[in-house]
Amino acid sequence: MQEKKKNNTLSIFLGKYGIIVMLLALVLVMTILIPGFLSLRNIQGIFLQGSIYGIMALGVTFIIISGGIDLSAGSLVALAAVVSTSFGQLDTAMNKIFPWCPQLPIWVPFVVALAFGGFLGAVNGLMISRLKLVPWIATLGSYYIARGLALVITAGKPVAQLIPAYNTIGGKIGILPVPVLFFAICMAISWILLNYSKFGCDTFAIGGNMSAARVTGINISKTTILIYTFAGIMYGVAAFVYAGRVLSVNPGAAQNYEMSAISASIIGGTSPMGGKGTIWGVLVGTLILSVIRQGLTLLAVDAYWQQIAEGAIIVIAVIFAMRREKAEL
Amino acid sequence: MEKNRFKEIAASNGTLVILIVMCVLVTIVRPAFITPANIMSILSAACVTGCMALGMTFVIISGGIDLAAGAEVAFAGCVGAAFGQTAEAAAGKVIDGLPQLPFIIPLVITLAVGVLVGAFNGFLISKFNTPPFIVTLGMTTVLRGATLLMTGGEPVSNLTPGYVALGSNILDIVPVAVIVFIILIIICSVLIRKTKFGKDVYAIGSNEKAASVSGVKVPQRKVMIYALAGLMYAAAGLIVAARATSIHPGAAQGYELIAIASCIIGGASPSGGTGTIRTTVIGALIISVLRNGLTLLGIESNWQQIAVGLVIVFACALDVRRNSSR
Amino acid sequence: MAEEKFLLEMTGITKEFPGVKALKGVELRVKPGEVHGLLGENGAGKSTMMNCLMGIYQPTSGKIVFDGVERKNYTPKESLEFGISMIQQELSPMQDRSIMANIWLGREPVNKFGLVNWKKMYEDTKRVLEIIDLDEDPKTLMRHLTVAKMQMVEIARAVSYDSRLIIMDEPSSAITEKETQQLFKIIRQLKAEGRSIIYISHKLDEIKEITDRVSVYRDGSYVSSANTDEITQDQIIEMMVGRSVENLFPKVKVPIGDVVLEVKDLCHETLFRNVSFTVRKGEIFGLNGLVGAGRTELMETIFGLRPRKSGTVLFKGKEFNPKCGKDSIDAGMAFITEDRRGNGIFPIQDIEFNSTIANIDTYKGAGRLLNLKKMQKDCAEYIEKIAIKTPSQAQLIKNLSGGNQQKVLVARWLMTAPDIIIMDEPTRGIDVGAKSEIHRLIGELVKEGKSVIMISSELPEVMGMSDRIMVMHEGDMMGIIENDETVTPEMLMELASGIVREEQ
Repeated sequence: MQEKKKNNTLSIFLGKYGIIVMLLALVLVMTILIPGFLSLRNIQGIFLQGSIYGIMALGVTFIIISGGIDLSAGSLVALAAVVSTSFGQLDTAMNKIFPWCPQLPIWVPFVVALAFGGFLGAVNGLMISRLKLVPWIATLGSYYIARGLALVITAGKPVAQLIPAYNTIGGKIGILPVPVLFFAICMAISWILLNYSKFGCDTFAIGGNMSAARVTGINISKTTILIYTFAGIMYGVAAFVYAGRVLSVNPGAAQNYEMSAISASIIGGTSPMGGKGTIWGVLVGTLILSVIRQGLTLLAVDAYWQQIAEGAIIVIAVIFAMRREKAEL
Repeated sequence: MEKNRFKEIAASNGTLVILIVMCVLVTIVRPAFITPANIMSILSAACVTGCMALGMTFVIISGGIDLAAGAEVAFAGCVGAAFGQTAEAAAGKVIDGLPQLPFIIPLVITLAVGVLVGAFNGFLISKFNTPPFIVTLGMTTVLRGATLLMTGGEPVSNLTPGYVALGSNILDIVPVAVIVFIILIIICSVLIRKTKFGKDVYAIGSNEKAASVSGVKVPQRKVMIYALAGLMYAAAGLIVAARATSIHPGAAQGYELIAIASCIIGGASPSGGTGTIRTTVIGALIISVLRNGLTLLGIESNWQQIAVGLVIVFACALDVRRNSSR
Repeated sequence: MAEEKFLLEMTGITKEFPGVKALKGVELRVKPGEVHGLLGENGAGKSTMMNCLMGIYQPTSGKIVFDGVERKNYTPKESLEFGISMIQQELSPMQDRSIMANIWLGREPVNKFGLVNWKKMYEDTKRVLEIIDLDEDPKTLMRHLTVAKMQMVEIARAVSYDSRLIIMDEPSSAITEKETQQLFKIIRQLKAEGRSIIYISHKLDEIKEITDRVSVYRDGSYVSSANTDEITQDQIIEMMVGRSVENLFPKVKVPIGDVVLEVKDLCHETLFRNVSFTVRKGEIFGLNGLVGAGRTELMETIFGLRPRKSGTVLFKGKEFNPKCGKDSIDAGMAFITEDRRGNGIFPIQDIEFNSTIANIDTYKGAGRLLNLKKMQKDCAEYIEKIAIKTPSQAQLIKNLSGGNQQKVLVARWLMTAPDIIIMDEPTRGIDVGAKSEIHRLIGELVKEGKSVIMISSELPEVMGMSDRIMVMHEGDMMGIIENDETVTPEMLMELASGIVREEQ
């Protein structure tokens, strides 16, 4: 063991900046293939495209760092979106979910989205830490339950005719799309939490070495619940922004978004085995996914092929992540 | 003495007792439950997810999971059905100009596709040592995309008489699919109880390292396990296509959950090493009775989805308690 | 004699696990500012005792007095806080976190906004690293450190807790000679600051060099303590080994036949080098060495569970290069592994499953279906033959005692009708009765003309049972000696500690 000197500068450099190199290479290829790929409009599009699952990926990253997984992210976003927009419908809207509900200012659905998202996350956390369920099974259960609840609440119909303020949420300030602004704020908060709070340190500890975490007196059960709650709040923000983008929320919304979020996180260097991950990585991973999607769309690749590509990306990302893991041991 | 024996039987057949109690309760509330027609409809409803659960049982006992099961059903079903369309189905033909083929061809193709896709999943999992739930989740999207691509998003319909026969009833009451399901149950049960392969599945799920020391070729076995599961999903795909003489690319969405739930309600542990075909079948029947009962009670299908989700969480929580109390 | 002052007094410590009494009234007294060596063979109870001290286990009974206060029912966190740290043998840091994040885990300094104060942490870390003379940037990831440096970080962590007592469990097992000297320098420095160290090691030369006093345990009991400079290595070995070697393991004399297994210049990428030996028919070939000597890894390589770098193996005269366990089993080799829970038993399966799994191929009957009746019959036969104590063969193996679990594993491998059986620490962690039954079994096996390779750390066992003994030290073969009356425990110890090498 000791003869294996691990201070290989090149490998450290690639480990740290490899994904940025990959992003730049991708952008370069796309720019060559597609004229005008680097136009302002298109760059806005790339960021806009990524902002929703980017926000989700922030939450997912905390979970994966702690050694867990969340398959329910997409469903939770849909449920949080349906519930929160129910408080953001016009007074005159047909098919009101809550007919008694007056027209409310935009902050009400915002708060509802965050609080309800957080609540749903906490339920996941409770199932995992208190009922001691394996994370993928607990979140697979909530994946179906949340989707079913969304369908029950809306009776399968979209929640539409939202208050005008939602237009702003999905719109732009100057050249900056508002969803991107939300993504940036969430990134900043996640960055501080992950790197400058005890909560962040504990998250790394649980995923990196559970027994050391226990020995040093970290409350693992409480931290686990907090991690899933935080992720839920991020899903709430994503749900709110999503509503602003589409202005009519279908109970089947955000299908498969959990995959994009998990992909973005793992491409960004989060270890599927836990204990490792960065917020910058999430940004880069999100952008890589977005560039691929936007590029494939501009290249007029069939939507079904895009779907296949998306699935293939996560499989390949995991394979690479596992190889990286193995190489580093 | 008598009481103790009863307790013992109840404990070792817990799931069966639950099934019987459920049947009795529903019968009391809705006597229509116990009619032969309704019983057949319960069995018939259990066929598709039941076949999937048979394959899933092998996967779960080996300590894995296959979230791509539903997508595999649709993919194998659609690919096979493309070769099983009648000659007249000019409008919606997947493969233009293909003559009407004997049923054996789509049958073999469906099953072969299922095996190949399953083997590929198994290969990805064993070769790269990747977490099964992420890989099979990715494969779900790949397979759904491929299915949509192939069918252009349209159902593959106008299937040949062979499909019609598979979807029909014998003596107007017993569905052929149920017979197929029963045959598959017997095959799987023999495989897991009476073959080296079956023993290896348990060995891998209860201690992978010990298995490889004891001469189990773990990577090869894992490929076989997922391939066998793929075969069962393909059988389910055939039944789906036969029932409606048409299969939609979005078919079997979410069925993997019901299959997983059947295994776990039946006592298979998500951490591997335990489970039997018999209890999985009982688990599948419990879910089918639950859905049938809820329908008879006039509860809408979205609530049923929620109910299944809750049941899976509940069953797992019970499993955890069972394991820690030992 | 004047009342001596102790920093730590543990008296009458017992610890029972289901089915096993791991500690039987053990004691330990450590003075302030002393390096206290803790000695004993594997399974003597050292680790259990330390886990009780750290609060990882709660002792079943006994009294722990630290710093003049009786301590009861405390958690590992509390023991850290009142001044005891432990450096585990198997370091498992958070690989992808920095040195400083590892040191201050669970008590990161915060600023007035409640945010982690990395600057202060950096400064504090620099300070503790300076104390122990470790020249690394606190921001370096643990992944990029050598094992020795990771160990230094652990020591820095102990210092940062201001621990009065630092336990080091086999700290030198994975580091080089030079690094060990560096470690000793730090230990002396810590001692000069008035801290006490409990130093657990198998290496007697190190014990002589660094410790002030030693305590010796054997089979979960306390043997005695002594000042290191008043005692010789031989006396220490005698205390560790205790009983007289000859009568405990009656060696069966059987005629030795032709060579069955021949290993030539076998090398692994990192773990061992140039190992050559032969095993003959009817022979018990002992393999001794300390933790980290590469014994298990050598056997795993021969059995085909690890890739070899170079070298050849001839088995029954034929070139033997198995790719997996199955190849070896088919060729007639069996491997009873050391780590029973890790790669031996299938805990949630029954005895029948556990005993027949390696031999499943032979039960294939018509249509490749298994002959379940025959499996039951064979299992019953072996339960009878090697006296496995169980209500029925449907009993789950995890419900058996360690000794009976081991017997089931022996049954598993005997069923494969092997020509050579590798047994890695066959009697570790099992009670005395089961031990002698396993030994009797080994004797019977060689009587039947099979060969046995027995890895063991227990000197009396190796010396009592083997025909020849090979000793390894940190991946090198130190020598193979004919096990006759002239062999002494000291000779083996010296070889195993790398002090001397047998000339070939």
